[in-house]
Amino acid sequence: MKNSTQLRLNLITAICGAGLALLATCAWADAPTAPAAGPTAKSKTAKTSWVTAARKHNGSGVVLSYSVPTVLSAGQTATVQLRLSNVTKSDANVKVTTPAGITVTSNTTVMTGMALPLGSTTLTLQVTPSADGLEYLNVFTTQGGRISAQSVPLQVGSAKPQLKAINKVETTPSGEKVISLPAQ
Amino acid sequence: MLHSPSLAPAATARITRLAQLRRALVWPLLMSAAALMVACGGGGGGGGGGGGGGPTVTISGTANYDFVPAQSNGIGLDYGAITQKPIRGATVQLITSSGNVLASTVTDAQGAYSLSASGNRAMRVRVRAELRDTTSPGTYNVTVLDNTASNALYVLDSALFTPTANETRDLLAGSGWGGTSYTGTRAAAPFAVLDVAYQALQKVLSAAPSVSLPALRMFWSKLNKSSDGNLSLGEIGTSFFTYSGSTYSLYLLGDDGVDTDEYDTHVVAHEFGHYLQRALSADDSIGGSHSGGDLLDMRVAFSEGWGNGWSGIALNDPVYTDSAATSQSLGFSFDVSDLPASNDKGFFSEASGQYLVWSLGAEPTIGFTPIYNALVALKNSPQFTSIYSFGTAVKTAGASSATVNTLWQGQSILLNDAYGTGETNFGAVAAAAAVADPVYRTYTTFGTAQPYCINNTAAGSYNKLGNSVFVSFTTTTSSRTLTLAPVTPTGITDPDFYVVTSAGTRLEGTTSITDSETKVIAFPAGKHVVALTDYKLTSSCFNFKVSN
Repeated sequence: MKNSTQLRLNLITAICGAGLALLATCAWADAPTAPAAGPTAKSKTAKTSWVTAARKHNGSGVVLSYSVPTVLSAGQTATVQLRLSNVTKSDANVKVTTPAGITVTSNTTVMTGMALPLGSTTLTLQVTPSADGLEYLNVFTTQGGRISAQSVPLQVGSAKPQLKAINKVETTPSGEKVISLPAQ
Repeated sequence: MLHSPSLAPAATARITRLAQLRRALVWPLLMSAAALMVACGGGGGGGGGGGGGGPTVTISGTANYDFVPAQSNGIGLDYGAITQKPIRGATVQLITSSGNVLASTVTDAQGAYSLSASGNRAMRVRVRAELRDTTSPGTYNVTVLDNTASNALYVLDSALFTPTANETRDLLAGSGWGGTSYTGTRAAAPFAVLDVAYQALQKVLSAAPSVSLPALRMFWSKLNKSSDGNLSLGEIGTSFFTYSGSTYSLYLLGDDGVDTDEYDTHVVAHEFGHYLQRALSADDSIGGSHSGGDLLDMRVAFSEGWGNGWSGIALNDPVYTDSAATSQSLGFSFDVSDLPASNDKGFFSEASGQYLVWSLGAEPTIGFTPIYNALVALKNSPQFTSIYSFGTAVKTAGASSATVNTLWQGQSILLNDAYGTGETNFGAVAAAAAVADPVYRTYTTFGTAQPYCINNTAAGSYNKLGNSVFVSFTTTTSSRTLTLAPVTPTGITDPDFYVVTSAGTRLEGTTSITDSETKVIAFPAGKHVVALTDYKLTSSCFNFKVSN
């Protein structure tokens, strides 16, 4: 059985033409045991193998792969690696944004945008989450006048992510599920 | 007409009053019962629906949604220019407070509707994010659902009201925009998505009024983000189309401030184009990363070119835009009607593909119908889908050969046939050209291996020119064994092959066996094609053999 990353690419025959997300299992399956306690201790949890992020049609063409710990711990610094490859044009650029609960303390230039050399580059970020939950680093790459946005998941703590109820699902008398949006 | 019971003469006033009381109580009940009998049997076509105890009322109005256009320079969205657009072709219902349907119709091209029901009871107008016509000719069923909420259907609801006379009820699905981000309910988003489908369907029906399209589910959620994972949690990776288990689905991003596509109409239309390919045609693209100017595998170049060119045709707008980042203020655009640069022309060029698809549609003597018919013809074409097979099919569909050939020649593509016979333009990368020339090699030595080489470095890897080599061979009706193995076994390669038989059947040999791939296939008589590649992306030479 081909590995999951490359299997995804092979299955494109059946779906539209880009490297895409499929009906994959959760990226955070089977969290390891909790790391050692202490506010300054670095997370010792195992990293995921390199994951190649899905790419959108007509995007920058820069390929993003990432390696993150399977589980991060609130208050503890963890290493996140971003590999940006297929850089073929001199105007390629990368910028990373984080939500309020994530702090990046190394390679901070990438937070305001940095040029990418031709070929492949690996960025190592030290990230510290402030609370448990599922957070995302947002990676924006530009190349050849086009932009792509990809989100790197960071599972903080072992609790499985719960979907916040944003739309109330109603069931009609005929048994159909609907989401009622109020008209203005 | 129901009559009140008659009373015996000389009845006292008390009896008269009792009778009057009975009528006061019974008459409305009898009328209600009669109305309910009518309502149970009706509910369609805009009328019917009794049981309200009041006269029939007509509720009419228009349904619109907020649309956010792209900036005039094509970079990002312009929230300062929000306009209201009609919700077209959508199912509209009058429903009671408990959700029972009183009447149903479909909005017209101006978003207008009219429904009748017995009034004097609480009801609301509901617009469903649904395009549905199940009566021939021309059938389709498109819904916009929330993949993060049990795949529920989005509906736009008016407030409850109790009509006693005809009323006008206009509905507006608001954008939810709060100035720098979305702060309110993004009610417009599902209907913006739906409207792209409406336009696309109209285009298809213009060429094929009797087409029967399979149901399409379009998923959008504000939680849909650019991260792989669990679709039900919104981790869709990117906007994409997928076909699985006989179900056609399209997922769209909705992540405010990162990437959200409900107003990037060409993105939606592009994916709808892949739905059409799957539903009506064939698409041999292997996907993968690519950017402008790449020398692409011909299957990828055509598929992406089709998606972009089609999006322009469907929306009657050749400018493709895609927004992203904070407040959707960044993004990019390109014009599919722009002539590709001289160094970006060829059968391997996505830019050529989109330009040709668009140009065919824009050509007054051709238009969309031959494009549609060519797309359908590709379903059983015995070649890999490419700009060659497409162009050949367009000519077969009635487009002027001279016009089509001239268009193709303008893109440095020689359209002699569906196999690219005689092609001379293989791009500027010699090592990739060495693999790609000719477009299809010919295997003739039945029972004996022939070497074919691929290159995964010259033009890039996986889906670039030269990463696969295309070969044709002929058989009688027979069972044959296809074998692929490296000329020099390395213990590293994982050879794979993809086949299109003379009947247009797609098959593949894609096991994970190192340095070997074998498959027995029952071939019909005729000329078949095979794409030889290495899953491990090496630059190697492989022996290919067709034998008993």
